[in-house]
Amino acid sequence: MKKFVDAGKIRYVGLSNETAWGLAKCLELSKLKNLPKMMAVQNPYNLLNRTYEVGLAEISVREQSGLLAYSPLAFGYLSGKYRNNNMPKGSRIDLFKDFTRYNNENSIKAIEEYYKISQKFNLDFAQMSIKFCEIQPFVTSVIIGATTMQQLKTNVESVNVKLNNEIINEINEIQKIYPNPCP
Amino acid sequence: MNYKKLGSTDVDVSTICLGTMTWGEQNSKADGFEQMDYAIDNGVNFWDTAEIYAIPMKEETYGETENIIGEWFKKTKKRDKVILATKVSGPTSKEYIRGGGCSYDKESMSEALEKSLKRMQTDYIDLYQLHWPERNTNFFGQQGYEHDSNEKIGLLLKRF
Repeated sequence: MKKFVDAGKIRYVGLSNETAWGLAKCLELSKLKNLPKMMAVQNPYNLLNRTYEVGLAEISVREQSGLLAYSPLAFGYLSGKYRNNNMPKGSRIDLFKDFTRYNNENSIKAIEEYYKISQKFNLDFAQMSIKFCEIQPFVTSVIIGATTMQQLKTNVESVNVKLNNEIINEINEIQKIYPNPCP
Repeated sequence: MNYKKLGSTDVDVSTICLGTMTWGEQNSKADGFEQMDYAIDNGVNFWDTAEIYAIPMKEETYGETENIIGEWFKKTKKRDKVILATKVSGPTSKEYIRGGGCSYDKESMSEALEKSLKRMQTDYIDLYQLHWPERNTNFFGQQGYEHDSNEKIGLLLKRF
């Protein structure tokens, strides 16, 4: 990779779908051998999967190699569109039946609880879900994936949403009841 | 829009990153163009793609998302407005990706990089990511680490 960086073809390098060992080892090797540093880690992170917080978050902050959070809406489940067994035509889960990562007994219960919080505080559910990722100190950027312009607008405008401590506390209470239902 | 530094660089990236993996499958080229126009106009300067996109992975749509991005750069001349991230595929059973079983060795990465650059009609990538580990570990939702005492982990250093 150093060769590509030296040639100007790559400015920076990063990892994806990594573990704490993988990131730490790469950071160590680049320091020891004066090689390109991993500037980011692209892993899943959302209200149904906060496992990044356990080991990787500390490394991200201390070593300045932040998380690029993918699936912030968990295939759209955290927009609420699949609630009550809804299956919108043309949606990802309708089209690709084997995308089952975010569909299990506890995730369905957790989604309901998070949805209730968004309603209680008058927030768009998708925007609350994205904003929760964006405000984490170990997160550099939240990767959104829209299939309509309306979704894209909603997702981008989530930056304007404010989540106060009361909302965060309620979200954290649900995580205690249903910890990482889709790790 | 909000911005943060990318790692310890001085590059400012938007805290919302434009995902692209539906372009070429659920979304058309025209849809992709509309999304990229909207992103630029609204301060979303950080875009992420991968050589294997569109998703789900298929031989017919391999590289298609990068092609769409490249056509947009050609049309708009706005490559310099974007912090562009893409990914090189790791080991896979899909034979259409460099014969399958590709690793992050020099030859495979060089081929992947050159082709991504060509598809996206640019001469540089801002952030080049290894899409998944090539060693035996937990990812894509796998729980529980099972160690393989025969694996050759010494390769990691060579990957830099």
